[in-house]
Amino acid sequence: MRQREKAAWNFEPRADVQGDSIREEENEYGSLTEECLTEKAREGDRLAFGELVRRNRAKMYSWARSLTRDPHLAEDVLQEALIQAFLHVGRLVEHSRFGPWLARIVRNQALMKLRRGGPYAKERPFSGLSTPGGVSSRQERPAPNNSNERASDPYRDIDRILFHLSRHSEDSIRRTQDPVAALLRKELMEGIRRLFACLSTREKDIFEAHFFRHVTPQDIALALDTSVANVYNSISRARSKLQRERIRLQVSLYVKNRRDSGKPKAKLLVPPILYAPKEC
Amino acid sequence: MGSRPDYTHRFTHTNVTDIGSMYSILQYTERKDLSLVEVAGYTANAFRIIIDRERVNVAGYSAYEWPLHHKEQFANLGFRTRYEGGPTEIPPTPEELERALEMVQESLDRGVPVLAWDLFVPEFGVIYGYDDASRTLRCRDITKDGELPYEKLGRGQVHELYAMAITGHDPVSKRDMLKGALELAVRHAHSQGYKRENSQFRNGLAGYDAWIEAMSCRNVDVYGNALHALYVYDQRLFATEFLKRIADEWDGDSAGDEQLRSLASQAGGRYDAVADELAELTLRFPFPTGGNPNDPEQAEAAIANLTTARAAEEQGVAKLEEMLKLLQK
Repeated sequence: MRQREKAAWNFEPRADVQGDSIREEENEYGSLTEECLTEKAREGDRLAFGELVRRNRAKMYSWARSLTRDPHLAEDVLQEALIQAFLHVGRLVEHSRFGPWLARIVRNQALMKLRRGGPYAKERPFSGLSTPGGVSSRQERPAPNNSNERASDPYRDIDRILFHLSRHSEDSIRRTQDPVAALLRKELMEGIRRLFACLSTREKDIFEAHFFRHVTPQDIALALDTSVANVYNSISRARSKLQRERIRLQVSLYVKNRRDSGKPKAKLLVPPILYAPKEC
Repeated sequence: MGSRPDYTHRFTHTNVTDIGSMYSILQYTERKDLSLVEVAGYTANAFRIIIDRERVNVAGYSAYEWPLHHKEQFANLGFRTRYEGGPTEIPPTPEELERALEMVQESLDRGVPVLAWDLFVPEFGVIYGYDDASRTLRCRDITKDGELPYEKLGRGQVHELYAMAITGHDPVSKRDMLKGALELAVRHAHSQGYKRENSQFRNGLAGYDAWIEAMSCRNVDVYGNALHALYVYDQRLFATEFLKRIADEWDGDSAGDEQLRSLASQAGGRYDAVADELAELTLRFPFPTGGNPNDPEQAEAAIANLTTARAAEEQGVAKLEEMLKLLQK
């Protein structure tokens, strides 16, 4: 079963089943720097994302393995980390490097898995979710870089992602024996919902189109009968709103964790000797 | 000191905010005995100068790798440190923010404030409290004392996160502190520290050349020029006083100690001459309005001040090198 999961979402370019033009494009991507690829991936370029994954996969796997000390769990961790990275690459801030960022996601995923009970937790990985047809698609799902198959890509819009995540979540809550895991999963769902709730409908439409369906701003402008500049503004506003919301949620969770673990609530030292307001 | 202005209020204040913040933080540690003059001297901060060669822009004073330098400076006083972030020019990720908050709160729980950048303005300041209920940090910098929301750490005026916390102390002798400080000062005087590609910033003696070069082009930034006159003058006043106190107060009866006192006195004289020239600059280009540094007459007068200052500083650095050789024996 673990082996099949590995195949389900590995982002490896599949040159064997694709045309020459794709192969050429991939070769071209092979020669790009990590910075350049990251920039492209941030803009929603899947080939660039795939290439970044190809370059980092082995290293990330051994990192996950050293964290979990279990080869199967390491596969799960890596897989979830790649999905998280794929969903969030758009908010990777400019000039950040992909490798260290992915390494952090892997680490967080590993810690999360270990907290949930490690290799023995009765939990089905995220990769088990189905396509809209309802058929388990582990084998049939197209490689994400195959543009012809985009229509059946389950990650093409926010609502569908939320639908899948929450259905999977309910399933796993029903199935799991571990109430903590169930609660964490539920919190994650609510977190994502709250995250996107900060956007207006129009911003959400534009954000989805740009980041999940990779429609160009020019096409979005045509479709929504607005200017390209407006679309760019909207994308950038949506992106910074989401970033702010992410920060807010992270801080909330952090403060909650501190409270739950009984850490001090406040501390105030005597004011510093220099720069008393009268000095300034 | 004569008619020179004293912006340091007899060495109880400094406009150079990393050193002011470090001095403030030391009050909560084993080394609260160190005076502001000693902190400025033993960190070698009093001997620094960084100038943008194109426009003497406002970024000069902060154009160095903060974590590296502050780590060295704290280490020279015997302190171990850890830090999050640096001069990255990008806002922190949520995870980076969380790590920084964790570090800050952990240090405050131990009773030691934290050095941080851009709390209310892009200067160094001190975080000295937190409250999880209101999700705010209690902060002070040179412009303000107040609350800063957790989310705002690293998202101030310039969007980059940097905080450094003291984690431990290993006592260091005065002799080792002086030796370490002289090493830092001499290195800063002679070697380019900010090695970013195409950096237009120059430090040490080359900093004066950069300043003169920018003045000659009549294209200096009025505000940045006045700010650096004020800051470097401030630093050289501290350098002079630090060396004077070494000359007056250094213990020991050996010939080496005697020689060290004499060299410190000579070096102090040279830095005093540097301060004389910089004092004129601060009067000519008062902070923050800045006067008319691109007026040909003003610029030529300033170039004369800077040329004299550079020559005096070069002699001062030579004396520091002699002191260092003596301590290395």
